[in-house]
Amino acid sequence: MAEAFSLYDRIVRVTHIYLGPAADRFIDRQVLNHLAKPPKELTANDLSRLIDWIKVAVSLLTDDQEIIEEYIAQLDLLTKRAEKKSRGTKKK
Amino acid sequence: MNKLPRTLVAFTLITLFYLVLSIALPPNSATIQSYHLSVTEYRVLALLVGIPLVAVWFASFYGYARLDEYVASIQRTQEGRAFALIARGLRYLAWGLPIISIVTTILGGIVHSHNSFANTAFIIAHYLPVIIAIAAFWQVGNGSRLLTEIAKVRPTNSATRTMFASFTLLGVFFTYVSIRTAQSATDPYHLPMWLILLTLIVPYLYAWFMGLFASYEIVLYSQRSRGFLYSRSLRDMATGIIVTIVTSVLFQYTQSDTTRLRRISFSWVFLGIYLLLMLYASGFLLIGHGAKQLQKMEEV
Repeated sequence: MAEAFSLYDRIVRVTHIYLGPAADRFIDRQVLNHLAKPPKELTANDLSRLIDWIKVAVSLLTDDQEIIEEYIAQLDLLTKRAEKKSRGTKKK
Repeated sequence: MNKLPRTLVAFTLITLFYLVLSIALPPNSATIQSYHLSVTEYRVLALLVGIPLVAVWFASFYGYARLDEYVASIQRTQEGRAFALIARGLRYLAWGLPIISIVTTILGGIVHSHNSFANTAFIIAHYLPVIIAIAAFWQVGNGSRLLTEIAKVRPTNSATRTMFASFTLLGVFFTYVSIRTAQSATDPYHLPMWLILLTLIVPYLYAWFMGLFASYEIVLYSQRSRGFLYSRSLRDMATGIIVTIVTSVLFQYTQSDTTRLRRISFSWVFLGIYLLLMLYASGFLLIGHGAKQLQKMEEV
């Protein structure tokens, strides 16, 4: 549970770079509306689907492809780290 | 939630009312005498000024309604309260324009048939913009103050000193201009000097300082805000608010300096009015654009 919470926090922190104070509300909406679960229960398995939805949503906010790609790349990095962490936990 | 249609209905009704008044009421005799116009010329010019005026009203109603919608979507947040106060102040400014136009048109009509009412009409026409300016900038100032508290920013020492100097200069110059206007043959105030100083000049300066200081606080907040897309939209909205405040101060200033205005050729006055109106409208349109972008972030 603590791990899922920190994942949510990290996603919000990355989103904050682009959406400022609207970041947490934006992520909460994406998780609630598209993944149909409370934002704090977000897990590494949900990330890939969430990123797809975030990409769609951010494309509605700006036409600047560079920003969208940069944002998604940062979220992808989070996915890779989360996967690596979960592999490490399984090996143990 | 959607306040835009309601505001547009209000705008349509108020515009229709103003147009009916402009046609039905007798023309302003002071303007006719000042610029040597015939009644027909006056009506044509009133229409020429009236059309862009209505366009400005539309822009201002659109701008504040968009901001209201954005405020409704963030009402539970910290910034929500601050922006709600700013939106209320801008609503007063937006409604202020048509209200002043309608009231002065009605007063002009009354003066035409009851000349003894002229002094009272002049006094009302001078106090109304002051009351609206104080009410509007008071709210905007409260909102901008909250924003600086949220962002934990305060004006720099050099900025504060520059503002003090500019405000003092503006204050002294405005007082000089107003006193000269009051002492001229065409004194528009019809009031004793002490009353002009205490109830017109001081409240005007108070309102302007509040408005201009609020503009600076909004700039501080938008500079401190994080989020690439957020701060871009916020910058548009903040620029719009600042343009609106500065233009409304300029508007009120020009209305007080009627002696100098009468010396300038009519076409230059006309051009100046159009330029100010365009600036005022573009300020509100920028507010509307920025608020729309910010609201989108709360919806997708």
